[in-house]
Amino acid sequence: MMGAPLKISVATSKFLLSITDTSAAWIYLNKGCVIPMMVVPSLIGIMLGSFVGVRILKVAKPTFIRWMVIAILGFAGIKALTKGLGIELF
Amino acid sequence: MSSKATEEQLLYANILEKGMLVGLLLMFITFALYVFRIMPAAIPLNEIAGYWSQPVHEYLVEINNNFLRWDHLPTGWSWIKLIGKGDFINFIPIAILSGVTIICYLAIVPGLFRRGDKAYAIMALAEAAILTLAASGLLAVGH
Repeated sequence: MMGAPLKISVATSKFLLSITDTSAAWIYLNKGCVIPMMVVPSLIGIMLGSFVGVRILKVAKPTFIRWMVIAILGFAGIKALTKGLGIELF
Repeated sequence: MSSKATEEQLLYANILEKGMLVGLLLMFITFALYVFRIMPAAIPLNEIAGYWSQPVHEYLVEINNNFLRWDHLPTGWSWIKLIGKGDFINFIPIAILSGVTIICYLAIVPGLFRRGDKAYAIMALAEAAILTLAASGLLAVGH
């Protein structure tokens, strides 16, 4: 999206997430907010998804990726906004 | 700036990859032990759904009153005491995945000092110290 090479973008993103998520994970663990029945399937899904995602990125068209990211971020933004305003959309 | 990865970058990536694979594999095993009831759970599998919609404090109070019956709430590193239970054994791979970044940072520090890259070495040490502090539970944020 910003013209950075795909592999470098993915590596940078994964690297950054590994640091921020790690510190957050410890806080959740220490607060007792980890329910394995919810957390473990999510973690496995995220990790397997990242493996698959990287492989798909190699063959996917950048334009498609761009519009997909815009759509997902747009959806997440609308959801956050409606939740904040107390509007039940879905 | 060279586009070739340095020795430390490769070392970091290799440790992270191996740690992540070990964590993921362990997670499959411990989760199977839990969901297939091979190990008994501290909070019965068929009752957990009744608790997970509650705020954290209420959830902790209720599982403590109904199942654990401890003098204190199960926070911090107290999950270690429940490691023999199917649900809490899943905390081991989560802790491994959360801790592997600390090992990565500590592993690259000697190489960075040897190369005379003091700024990066100090940053790596600071990152490791912050993450260790987060892991220790000494830092408390939120409610």
